[in-house]
Amino acid sequence: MIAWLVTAAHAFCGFYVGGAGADLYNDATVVVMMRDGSRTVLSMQNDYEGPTSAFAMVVPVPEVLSEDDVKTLPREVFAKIDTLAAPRLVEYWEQDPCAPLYDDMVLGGALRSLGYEMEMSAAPDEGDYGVTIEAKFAVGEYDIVILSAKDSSGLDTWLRKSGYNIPEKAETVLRGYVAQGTKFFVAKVDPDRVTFDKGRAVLSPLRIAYDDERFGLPVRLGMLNARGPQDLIVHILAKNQRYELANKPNTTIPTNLRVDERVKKDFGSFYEAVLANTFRHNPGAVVTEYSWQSGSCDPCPGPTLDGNDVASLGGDLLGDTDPMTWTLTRLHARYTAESLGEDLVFRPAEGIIGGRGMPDPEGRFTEKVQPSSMNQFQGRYAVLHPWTGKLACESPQRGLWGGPPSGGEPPPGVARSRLQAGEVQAAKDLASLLLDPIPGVTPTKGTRPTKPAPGLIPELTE
Amino acid sequence: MTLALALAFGAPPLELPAEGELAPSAATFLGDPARYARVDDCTACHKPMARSWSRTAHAHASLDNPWYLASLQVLRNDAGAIASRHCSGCHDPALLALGVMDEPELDLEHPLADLGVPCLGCHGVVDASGLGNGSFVVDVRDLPDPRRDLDAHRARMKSPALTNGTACQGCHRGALLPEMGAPHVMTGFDDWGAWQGSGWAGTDAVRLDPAPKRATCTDCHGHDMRGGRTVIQPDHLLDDAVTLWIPQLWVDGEPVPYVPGLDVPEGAEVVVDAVVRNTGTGHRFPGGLGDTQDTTLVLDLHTDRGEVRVDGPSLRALPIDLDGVPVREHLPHRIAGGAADHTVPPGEAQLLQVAFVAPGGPIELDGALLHRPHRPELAAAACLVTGPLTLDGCAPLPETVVTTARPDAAEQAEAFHALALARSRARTEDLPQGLADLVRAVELGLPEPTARVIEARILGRQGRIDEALRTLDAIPAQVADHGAVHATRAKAYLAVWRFEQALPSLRRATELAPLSADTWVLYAEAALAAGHPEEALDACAEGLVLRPRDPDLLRIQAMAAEATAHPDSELAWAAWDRHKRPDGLDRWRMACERLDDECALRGPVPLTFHGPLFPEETP
Repeated sequence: MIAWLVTAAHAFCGFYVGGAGADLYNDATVVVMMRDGSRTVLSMQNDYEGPTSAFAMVVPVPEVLSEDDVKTLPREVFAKIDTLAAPRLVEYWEQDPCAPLYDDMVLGGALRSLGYEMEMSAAPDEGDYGVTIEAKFAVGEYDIVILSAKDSSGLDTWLRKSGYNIPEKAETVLRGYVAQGTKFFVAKVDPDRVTFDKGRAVLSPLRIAYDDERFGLPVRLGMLNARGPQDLIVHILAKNQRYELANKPNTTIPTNLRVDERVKKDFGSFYEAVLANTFRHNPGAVVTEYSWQSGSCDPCPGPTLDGNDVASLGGDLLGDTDPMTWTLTRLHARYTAESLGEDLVFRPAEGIIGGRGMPDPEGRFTEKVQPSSMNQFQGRYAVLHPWTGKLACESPQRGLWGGPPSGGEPPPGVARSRLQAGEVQAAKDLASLLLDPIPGVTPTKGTRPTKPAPGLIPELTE
Repeated sequence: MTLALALAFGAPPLELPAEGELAPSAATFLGDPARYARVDDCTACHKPMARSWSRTAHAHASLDNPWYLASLQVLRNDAGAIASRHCSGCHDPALLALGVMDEPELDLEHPLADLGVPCLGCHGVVDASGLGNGSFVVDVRDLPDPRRDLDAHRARMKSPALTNGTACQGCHRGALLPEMGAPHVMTGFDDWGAWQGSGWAGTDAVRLDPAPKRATCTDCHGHDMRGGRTVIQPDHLLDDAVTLWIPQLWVDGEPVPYVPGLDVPEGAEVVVDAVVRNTGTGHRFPGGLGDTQDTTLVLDLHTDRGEVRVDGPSLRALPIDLDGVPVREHLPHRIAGGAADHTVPPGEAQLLQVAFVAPGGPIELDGALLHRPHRPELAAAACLVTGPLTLDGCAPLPETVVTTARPDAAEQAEAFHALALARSRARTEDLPQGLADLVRAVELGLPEPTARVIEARILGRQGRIDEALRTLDAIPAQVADHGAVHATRAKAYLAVWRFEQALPSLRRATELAPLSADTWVLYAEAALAAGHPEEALDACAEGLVLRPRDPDLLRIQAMAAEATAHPDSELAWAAWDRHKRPDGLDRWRMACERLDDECALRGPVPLTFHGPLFPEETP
């Protein structure tokens, strides 16, 4: 006797509530979404900034979750995925133009020095104000209650009466959820079970799985705590599939740009300036920063995901923990409360490549961002070190790039997601730091070309 | 608060689902059950009709039916005799009225054990509600004697409930209840509701199609119950029920329009897009119990290497129990939720995919949709049943060729139209290809207004509100005032939570398509979310007449009642509490995916994979 509709249930992003008077901000939300079929596993990590008193996170959920549905993850897996997908700064050194030329040696040395070899690794009283506590359990440092509400103002009141400092406009947003019969997952942190680092709570990421034919991420509630521009970084792991936004403009981060060596001092600030410039020239767009098989990278700023990481993020539920199966895409959105529009809805996108390759003999990266049958795209910025030593031969071969003369394989620098708009000074210096043009930014006059000239190559920066 | 109280004092009572005295059956019998059972009285004057009826599922609905009996006996064993009233209200109404079903031992030898649904099972219905589970009132008191007053007899036997079809809703809509052993209340099959929301009922709030002729249940299913007798004979009412096309293949991941003789390289991975559109049925196809059906796509592949037949996916629903184990023998009391439903709503389309490795060379495909009345697991259970049966549960089940794939090039626009429709209601990931299919359909001649509604549906689901509105605005004014246009616009607004802006469209959509319960749900939800609980309450009242057990309408009604201080708000909450959707469905589905191959392919576009077609091929 069955012919029901398989109803849609939507994903979510939550907001923080804290003790009365608490000043809570939610500047950067990082999520990892694994998608296979109509199943989504969502892992969330929010940066909480506030007092060390008890606080909580409110997340609308499609149904009453049980203890088995909720899992905390080690923060390391988020740090690992952030490092893997973050934009990176690499360095190339022009090889000794007079060194003996053995193809395999030059090539192999260059590749090794750059890490080119693919790395692979394996409350108040129940019922008050129309609020019902549907379930209650503890996971990690969180005490979790699942609430249902008869009306949004009742939920708002219940949370306020429970001592939480609800963002002002919460009731309006909650009304839509309540009308749709959404449940509310309140993850309250027990101060005795949480660790703090310099006054900042170190919260474990939370993982929830759900079934939904719609692949999207509601962001409304998450905006309620925003004190200014809010960054949302979405990592999507899908089987050999890149994703982009269906309902926002998409753009890729300018990549393979040569930069001044000064960028090394503060790559994060530099990257923030590039990102801000990209948002400025692509209003409302979501920026693709990375798309690559999660079990490999080039260059690798750290270890790739291994089977345990993939399992942690949802591969255990989806029945495939092989990191080579899963393509990791990183999307970066920036909103203000005023610019808040619709939930994010994702769509599959064709593969792209970009941000790869070696400098050519002219010292330029020639590969463009372009469609491909595979995904190997990353935000990559390069400091080039032309040969400055003596030319002890009659016919020096210029423009061969590789690792440092001293050998070794310095890992690339990365711009992690923690860096926030407003923290950096690099924006005003961006033009002087770039050696290649990007829209809206003109490299500073007098910046010298990287092209190796015959004879001694002067320092790029003086 | 003052306003709310004032409203409350004048508020009419809320309509709440209430079971009858024979619960968990909702049937009501007035008069002598023995009178109800007298088929011979009808046969005396209506021999041809009686003969037709005798070969229908109505005539064999009772304990003489091995498929029914197999299910009933397990239910009674697990949940008790009273629970079996749930079944007997529609299958053995006379036994229910006589109290026979309440006895611990099932009396298979009872004189009415093989009665089925007799003449008065339909002609005696004087009233019916949308509650389902036998929510009819049969009154056999004071039946006019045709020998004395033929006009009165005719008038009584052709009651309004029968001519407008409402008599059918009592048994052609089901709900699972704890009283019959189910873990919670669940809405079940609903042929009646599907008809109400379709163009066959005179309104359509979904598609801008040419309206089908208006028809009620009895216009298609007469005394011979065409479409409802496939357990006894191949049934050619099914011939025009749906249309099947094979518009394109995917060859190594790239879409290729299918033409007979298409050359495909050896070793290429081929995925066949076969799309079934419900073009001729006023309810979901296949109708009836979606979990028992065995309606399957078969493909005959003609290649240079030979010919081979491969099975594709089936059009049916897959229920699961509390552990996520599929329930394939139609044991309704064990059902906790649905893992999949690939039956096709009226006017909609379902994409079925078949994958194989190409043998190389030209390929020709003959597709067909074959219907057998019961899936093999239920058939096997029926074969074990013993008793005074009038049908042989072990005999091969009749097979009906519902339709064969339409190769006519002139229909390619409709074929791609159907593909776009199917993808428009699938996963987010399928929507971009749905748009591409739609573009192709328009190129081939699909009328633009029809296409624009589907385009807006897709864009709306993607949250692309501005584009969705633009495409709807481009529909010519003479056709724009249509329920589907207004409802699609509203859905696009609702997808981005613009509740207030959705309301005008929903008001108009419900005016134009008043029988669409789905549209009333949207209207009620939008009104409540926009802060208009009184309007939400009114919308709920309208919608609940159509679908009294709808959990969304009951929830919104309760919230709106609370917000307006309605005196029945506590009752409204209790009604919702009984009918609310269960929590845990995701868990059960996930468990099912791990346990069961059919479940693993439960997505909105089911696919069967066959690998190499010929043994010596290497994958």
